[in-house]
Amino acid sequence: MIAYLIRRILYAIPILIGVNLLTFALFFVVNTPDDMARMQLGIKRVTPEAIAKWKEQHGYDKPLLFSAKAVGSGKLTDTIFFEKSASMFVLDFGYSDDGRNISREIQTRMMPSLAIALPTFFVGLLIYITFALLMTLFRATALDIAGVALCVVLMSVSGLFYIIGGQFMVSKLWHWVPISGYAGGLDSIKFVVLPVIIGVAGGVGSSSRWYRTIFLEEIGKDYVRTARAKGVSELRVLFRHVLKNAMIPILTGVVVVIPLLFMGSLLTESFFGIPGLGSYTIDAINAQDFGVVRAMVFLGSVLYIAGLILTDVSYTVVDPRVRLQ
Amino acid sequence: MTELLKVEGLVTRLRNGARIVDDISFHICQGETFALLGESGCGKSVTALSLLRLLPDSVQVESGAVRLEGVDILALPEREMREVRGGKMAMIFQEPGLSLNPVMTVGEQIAEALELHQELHGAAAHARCVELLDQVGIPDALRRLGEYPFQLSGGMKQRVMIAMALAGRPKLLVADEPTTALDVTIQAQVLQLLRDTQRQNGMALLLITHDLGVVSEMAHQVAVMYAGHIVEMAYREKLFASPAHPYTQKLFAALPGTGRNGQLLAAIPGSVPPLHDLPKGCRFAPRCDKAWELCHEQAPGWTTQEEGQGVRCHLYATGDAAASEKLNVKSETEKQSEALIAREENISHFTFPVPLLKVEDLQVHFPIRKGILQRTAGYVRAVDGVSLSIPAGRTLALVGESGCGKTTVGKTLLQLIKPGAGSVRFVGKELIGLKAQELRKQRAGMQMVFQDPYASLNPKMRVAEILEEGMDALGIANNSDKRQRRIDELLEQVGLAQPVKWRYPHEFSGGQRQRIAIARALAVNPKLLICDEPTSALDVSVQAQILNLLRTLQQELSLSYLFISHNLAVVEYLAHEVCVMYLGRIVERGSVEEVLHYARHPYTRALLSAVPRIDGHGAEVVRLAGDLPSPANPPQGCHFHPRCPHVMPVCRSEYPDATDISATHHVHCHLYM
Repeated sequence: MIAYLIRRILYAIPILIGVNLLTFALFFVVNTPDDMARMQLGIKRVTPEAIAKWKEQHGYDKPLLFSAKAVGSGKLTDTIFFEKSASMFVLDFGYSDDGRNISREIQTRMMPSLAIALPTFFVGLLIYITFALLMTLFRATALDIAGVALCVVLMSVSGLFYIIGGQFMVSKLWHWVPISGYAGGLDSIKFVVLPVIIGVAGGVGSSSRWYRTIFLEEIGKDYVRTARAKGVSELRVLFRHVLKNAMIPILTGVVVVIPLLFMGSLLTESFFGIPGLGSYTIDAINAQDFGVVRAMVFLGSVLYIAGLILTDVSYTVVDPRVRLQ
Repeated sequence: MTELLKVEGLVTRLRNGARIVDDISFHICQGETFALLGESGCGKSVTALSLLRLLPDSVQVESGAVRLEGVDILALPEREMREVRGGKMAMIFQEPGLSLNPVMTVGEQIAEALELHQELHGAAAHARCVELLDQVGIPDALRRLGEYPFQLSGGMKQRVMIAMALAGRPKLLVADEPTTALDVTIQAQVLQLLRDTQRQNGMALLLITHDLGVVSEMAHQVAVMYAGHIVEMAYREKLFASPAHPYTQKLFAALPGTGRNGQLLAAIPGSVPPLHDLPKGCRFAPRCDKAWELCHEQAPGWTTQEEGQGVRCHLYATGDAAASEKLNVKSETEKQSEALIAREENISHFTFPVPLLKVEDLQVHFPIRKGILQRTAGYVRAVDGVSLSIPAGRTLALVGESGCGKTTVGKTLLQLIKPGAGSVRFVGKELIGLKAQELRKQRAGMQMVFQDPYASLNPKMRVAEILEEGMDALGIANNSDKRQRRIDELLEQVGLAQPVKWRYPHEFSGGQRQRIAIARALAVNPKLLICDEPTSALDVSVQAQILNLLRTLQQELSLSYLFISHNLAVVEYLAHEVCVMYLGRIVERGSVEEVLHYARHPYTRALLSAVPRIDGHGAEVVRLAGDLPSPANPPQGCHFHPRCPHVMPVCRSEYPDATDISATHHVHCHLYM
């Protein structure tokens, strides 16, 4: 398994270089270093000299991808792409356009993001699976049909509606928790409760319905019939036989997002004014801050790859047939 | 004998109407084996599931009674029914691979049954598990308990299923096609085990099967099912000596086997009628060559002949004058057979100087990769030095158990898998190393018919498109009119009506699909057909249709066949020469006569004796111990020595060279050196 993990991590390097190249290309198709300088310097003081000075200060005065003037390996390394990308592989993200250290910024903003994302994920998973198991136990009865109908209604409503509706009712009408904002320590609870509930509610429809399908597929399999032929009760069939087998497809979709929880949620954080990584990314995109955007895309890719590797590892836990080599 | 189970007037139907099991009655005595025989879709599995009340949600028992030791179990509340399941009545299933929970250890699964029915827990349960695994003949039981199903071979899994069923000390074991998914040598082991445990525990056995051979080896009483009815019930001796119902008679006649070499098989035309569209009169009437008006209009009742024996057929209804006349009608197939024999004799005067296909020392080794850099750590020797040749117009059969490499040989000949070494010469031209363009031209000469007609036809293409694709790719009949004419011609050749052209594969039965698959292969005018188990997914009566078709086509088009099969009866019927494969190598080759009747290699002999025969009671039986070893790590010396009953010291160290028994018969065995 160790050999497998090492190989997967080595595979990640070319993927990350590719992702970087793609982000870089996409960004500089719509922007030039000159545009970035103008944006940062504001409209009034822009002179060609000021632009050239800004570019030099921020390291954007070099060729983008290939330096014809340089010699030897310098042709590739003496470029914006190389200078800005190479350091990211040791998690040094450099400075944002407003002069702050991106790495430090990520560290401080990670906590609020996790405070929302982790409870949403785990509470959600528990509720979705419980709901799906209930529907499976009462399959083909009125209860099941009503459950599926509820799921379809819930997943048909836009996520924005839950956020705005929740803020309006819970915060504005009933004054139970603040509408938005964030505080450190224990105070954070009152800011976190509403986004978590809304996050969970927003996912109930699609996830429960999906898990129900997985459970129903498992319950039609031959080994379940064998268990019943042994005289095992329906409840025990569900918990001892079906659940563990159904975890295999469920894990595929679930474990991969665990590392991405660090990245926070773009929508929720913006609406609830949470100073997390999600809102940080949105702000950077609006400000055309290439440094931050690139850092977040890179971090996202790293975490996604980590999620995929974690998924493979989790298979070995639930499925004895899987051995990683 | 005391009556254990009594089924009276059982009717099971789909919730939306169609009756799957229609008014079935039978009884099983203690310690007796009762066989339910029938083709797929006739309702035998549903009957079994009805007994245990394990029907899927869409199916329900409508009426009838099932009495187990006098208690009507259809009326029991679910809680008490759970005591019966796995307690008094246990069941084992067809696919041992799918029927065990893949994520629970063998021990956990057996212990669960012990816990439920014997109230054994912890150490006591563990000790009993070991005992049970010993009883079903699993070596090293203690270690196996901690293993998962995927670590066991198919035969082992079925043994575990049996151990699990025995855990509750059942009075009745329901076995639904318990050996259909297993190789013949393993099937023989499992049937032996079932017989032994039955004798030890005095348990009754309800055996559900489509295989007359298995019935002949196992059953005391037999009920033949057709389209939801029991059409005949008799003691085994009686049924095999003089089957009464025309359907039963046809089933026997449709079996390929000894003495049927020159003739066409008596295939039953058509297929089992769909449940929602049953004929008005006798359900077998549309396929019966003895049917007359009465049969088409009025369903026959049950005629009891003797105690526990009877038949559902107008022929035996008392006092019908028309019936007794019909009993002696001769069938069409006999006439066709004569014609075929005449033509075959013409052909056999021919000599075949140049082989159509000549294969020498073919090797296919799949690498096993390991470590960070995926270095090759070893090879799975799927095909390890196979040589064979097929003359034009003849059939060579490649026989062996699953995993012996026979399918890989087939695919490699077509260059679908690139061989590691060796030579494949087709009409004198070397195929290995040919450029893609050149190879494409050669492919027209060689086509393949696959095992599973349900999976090998593209479900999104119409029949005409399926047939046309090959012609298009190889540039045959290059205008649309010609092609359409060719398609009509092909469909006629394989016995399908023209209007089927614009239908999709899912609209056809298994036999019809296999006909389409054969037509697809024929579309490009090949000289050689590689048939990979073309009938193993089909029912006996349909199998006979396809075998007859292959035989007729061979004569009309002077095709050559490489016929890959594990079914020796089919091979005997169709092949001229036979090669027996074991673990990637051919161990014996010769003419059909030589290999199947004067087999020399101990493996061939074991294979032959493991096949349950409908006639061969008391014949010498060679039982093989153990499973096929892994081709990644074949045994030293002769690959067969760990399972061989005649093993000698030299077998453990050296692989035997070929010994010539006759000019055509060769065997790799130290016994004949």
